[in-house]
Amino acid sequence: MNSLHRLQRDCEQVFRGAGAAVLLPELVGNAVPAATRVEVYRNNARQICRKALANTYPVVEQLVGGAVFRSLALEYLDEHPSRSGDLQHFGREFPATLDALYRGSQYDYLGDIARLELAVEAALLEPEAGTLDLDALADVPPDRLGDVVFNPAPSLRLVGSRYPLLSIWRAHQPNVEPSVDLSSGAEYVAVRRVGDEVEMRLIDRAAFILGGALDGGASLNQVWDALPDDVREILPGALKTLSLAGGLSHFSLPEN
Amino acid sequence: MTQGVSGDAGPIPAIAGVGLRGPHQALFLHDKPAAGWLEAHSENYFADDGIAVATLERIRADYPVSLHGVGLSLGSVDPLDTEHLGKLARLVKRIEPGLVSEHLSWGSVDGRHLNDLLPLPYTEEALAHVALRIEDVQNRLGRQILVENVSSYLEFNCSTMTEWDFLVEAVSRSGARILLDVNNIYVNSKNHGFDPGDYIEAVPTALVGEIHLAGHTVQNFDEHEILVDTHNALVCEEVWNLYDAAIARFGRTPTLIEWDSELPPVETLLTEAERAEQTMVNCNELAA
Repeated sequence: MNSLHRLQRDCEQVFRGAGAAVLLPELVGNAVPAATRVEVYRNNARQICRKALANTYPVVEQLVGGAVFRSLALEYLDEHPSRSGDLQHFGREFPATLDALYRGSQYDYLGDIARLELAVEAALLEPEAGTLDLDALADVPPDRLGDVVFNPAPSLRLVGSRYPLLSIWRAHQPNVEPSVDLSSGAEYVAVRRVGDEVEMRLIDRAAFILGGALDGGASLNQVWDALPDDVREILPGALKTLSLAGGLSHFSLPEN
Repeated sequence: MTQGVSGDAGPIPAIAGVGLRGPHQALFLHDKPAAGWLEAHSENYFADDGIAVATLERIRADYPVSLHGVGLSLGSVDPLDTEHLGKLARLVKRIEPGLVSEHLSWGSVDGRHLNDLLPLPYTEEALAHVALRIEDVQNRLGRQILVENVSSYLEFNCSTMTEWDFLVEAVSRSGARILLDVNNIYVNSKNHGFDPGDYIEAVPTALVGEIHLAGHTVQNFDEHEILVDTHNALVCEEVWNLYDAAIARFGRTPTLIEWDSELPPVETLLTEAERAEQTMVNCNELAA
């Protein structure tokens, strides 16, 4: 390890919060002590992390408040140091961090809200796609319907919760009175890009489960095998719901 | 007055421009306020299929655009992030910016990123390392880049040269040019105790391709005042005075008003740009 590498490693550890003793002899001290100068970079590290998370999770920040969010950001940074010069994906593990901290508490739903906010950001990064017209299935020979592979829209993200997550999200948008009944039941949301915007639509549980089963490129026969009985019973309706939500871009029929 | 939408979205003109930030994008896209040129943070447009880059492409049709990176970590001892560089190369090819710039700093070590613009020690070892990296980046992008001096809050005992000698030598060895941030010079002069005029005078005129102006804040740490480059305020009078000196030395130079947090209305940025433009006009008149 050369001296530049050693110096950068010492800086990185100290700026993340390790004891500064290893670095202080390397720093110029004058009217402002070196230990004080180190504090600026420690503060920057915390701020950069908090801002990156707040950009992706503004509703979570509103729900927990600024002080708690800062504390959560510090905890997250300790567990998940950034691995890229691009902060775009820095916060992708944040929903799991919230689950670990709040599942079973009065803030049980926070991880689900974070997943919805992450889905919105992810949809913004994907291409827009056409919407499948299910009438096109009429051209498929009946004995080949089971081989059909439905392709979800690239920007489609499905988020479900036993809480009314879309209602919670909407209640925490600017100029909206934040009032929502947490006991009003589960909500399932289809998130996708439409033009320059992201659209969020409520879908039913069956469409949500079907959408998840379609995601891996499985044929309709394979999807059927994976579905619970109650969804199989309403499969055509679930497929139509998913299509109307813009969740399907096209289908393909592999050659025999 | 700041020149209006040029209709020629090519090279960056030697006039004042403003930073393009998310909340202002729709305004530049639809209302097309008069700005000489726009500068975008490269990393915000890395998703090839995303909405952001498609929007930038449309804005690029009406304004000259420069791309300014914050995450390449030129001075890091880690290997250059080829994935990051690949995304930048694709973006450069797609947007065809008038200028591409990065920072003379480091931000990662052993694969862990602080996502900050951290200062290098001003040593021959660091100089040789960063000059080679800049050259490598230019080779991979197939074009010259500008390298920006960063604000700093500490200095290393092992430094053997001044910050400005390090900057000039780094770009001279690599064939790059300088994006001279006048606010950063001022911030560093206060934080480290040097004459900012010495910095300006030491930079060869031919090397400066762009100037940045921004606001900073005075913050208290352990009862000590430190100037922090926060990009959340108007350019202060002392920095405007230093900009006068810079324009007197370098002549008309593309000048950007940077503002990144607590973003004001676009009109505030444009008013700052007008002042920069007036400085360049006054300088021309004096020289005539």
